[in-house]
Amino acid sequence: MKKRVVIAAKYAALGCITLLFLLPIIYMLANSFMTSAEIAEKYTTNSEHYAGFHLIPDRFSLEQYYQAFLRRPQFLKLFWNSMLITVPIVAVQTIVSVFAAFAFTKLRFPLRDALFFIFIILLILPSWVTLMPNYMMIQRMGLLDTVWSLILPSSFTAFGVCLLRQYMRYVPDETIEAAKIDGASTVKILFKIVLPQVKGGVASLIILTFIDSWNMVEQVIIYISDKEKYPLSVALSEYAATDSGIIFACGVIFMFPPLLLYLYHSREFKNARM
Amino acid sequence: MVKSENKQIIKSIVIKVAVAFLAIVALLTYFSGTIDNYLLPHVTIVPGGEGSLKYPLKTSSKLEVTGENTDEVKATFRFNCSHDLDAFVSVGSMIDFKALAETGESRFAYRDGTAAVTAIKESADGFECTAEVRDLQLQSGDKMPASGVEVIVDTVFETPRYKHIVMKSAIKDDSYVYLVTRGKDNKHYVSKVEVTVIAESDFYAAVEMDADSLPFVMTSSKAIRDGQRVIVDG
Repeated sequence: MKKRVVIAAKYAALGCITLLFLLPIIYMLANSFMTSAEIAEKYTTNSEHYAGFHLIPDRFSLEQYYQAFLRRPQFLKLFWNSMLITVPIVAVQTIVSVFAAFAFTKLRFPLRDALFFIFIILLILPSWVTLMPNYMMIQRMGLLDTVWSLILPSSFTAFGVCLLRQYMRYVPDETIEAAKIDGASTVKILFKIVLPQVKGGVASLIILTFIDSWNMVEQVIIYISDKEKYPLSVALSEYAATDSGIIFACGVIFMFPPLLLYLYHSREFKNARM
Repeated sequence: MVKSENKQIIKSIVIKVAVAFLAIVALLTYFSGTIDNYLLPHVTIVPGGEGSLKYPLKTSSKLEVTGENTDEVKATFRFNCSHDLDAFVSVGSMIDFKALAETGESRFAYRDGTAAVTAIKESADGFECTAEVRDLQLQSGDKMPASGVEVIVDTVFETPRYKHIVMKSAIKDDSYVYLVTRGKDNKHYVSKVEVTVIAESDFYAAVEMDADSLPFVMTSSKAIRDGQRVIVDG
C-alpha cells in the first residue's frame, strides 16, 4: 500500500512538472483560438495592471490562423526565409560533422588529437567572441545582408563534430577492422558500419541544429539589415509589438516544423546513448 | 516488433503531415491573396454626396373655377398624394400642370400652366393639396377652361439640398449605413456609421451622419461587420 502511495506521489510530481513545462505551449495553443478582438480586450495592459492569464477562449475561432495564413502574405514569406536559412545549415552541418567526427574517431593521421583539441577550444569559445572576426570576414567576402552570412558561419561548428565523435567512440573498432579485412572502403565503413550505429546521435544533431538555426536571432540582427530577409524568429517579436492579435497563431505555426522534426526522430532521439 | 511497426506508422504520419503542412504554406504563400479575395464579402457601392431629393408626381384632377365673369375669377384644383410631402412641398410651392382647353368646335388640346400650392392637409389616402392656377398658356382661339375640366398634374417636387443623399436600400435597419474606405494598404474596408433619416423619396433618402460622404455599401455577398475588409465589385 505504502509502495503504491509512493508511486502515485512520484507520478503526481512528475505530472505537475510535465504540466509546468507544457503550460507555455498549451497556453499558446489555447490562445491561438481566440479572436483578435478578444486578445486585444484581454491583454490590454496599462501602467497599473498586468495582463491577466486567460486559457480558455470565450468563443472558439480560427480567425488568427485565417489572418496569419491569408491576410499576412509577408508572414509566409518570412516562414520560407527561416526554411531557407535552416535547411542548408542542418544539411551542411550534419554532413560535415559526420565526416569530421569519423575522421577524428576512427581514422589515424598525424596530429589528430591536437586538431581535435583545437576543435574543443572552438566549442568552448562563446559565439560572441567569434562574432566580430566572422562579421569582418563576411563583410570582406561581400556577403553581408545575404542569407549566406547566416548559413556559412553556422554550418561549420565544433558542436556537431564533438557530439558525433562521442557517439562514434562507442562503435567497436573490431567491427571496423572486420569490415576492412572484408575489403570495405573507408566510405563504405562509414555509411554501412558506423552511421547505422550512431543514428541516434545524427538525429540528435539534426534536431538540435534545426532548433538552434530556427530560433536564430542575434546573427540575423547583426548580419541582415533588410527586413524582407528576416526569418520568422526575429519577425515574431515585431509581430508581437505591432500585430498582437495574431501572435499566438503565429507562435503555433512557428513551433510546428521543429515539433514535426522531433516527432519524426523521437525514437532515435530517445534511444540515443553516448 | 509491434512497437517498431507503431513507430514506423508514426513516422509515416509525421511525414505526411509535414508534406501537407509545407504544401499548404507554399500554396498560400503564392495564392493567399487570391483565396482571400474569394472568401471576402463582395460588395456593390453607390457614391454618396450632397444633393436634393426629387419626387415626380403625375395625377389627374378637375378644375374648379369660382368668380366667373367677375374680376376675382379664381381657378383651383385639388390632388391627392400618398407620399409624405413635408420635405418636398409647402404652401407657395409652384407646380406644373396641363389643363384641357377647348380649341374649336369639339376640338380640345392640353395647355401648360403653373399653379401655386395654397393648402396641404392630411387625408385618408395621404395628403390633399390645393393649388391655385397662376398661369395658363392659352393660345388664340382657346376658350377659358371652366369648372370640371380635366387637369393633369405633371410636376417634380424637389427638396432643398442636403449634405448626404443615399439610396434607401443602403440604410440598414433604418439606422446605419456601411461606408467604404481605403486603408493604408490600399485595400477597401467598411465602417458602420449611424444615420438619421431627414427626408426620403421612393428610392433615396437624405440623412444626417457624423462622417464624410464616402461610397455606401448597397449590397453584399455575405454578412459584413464594422472594420471588415471587403472586395468592391465593379
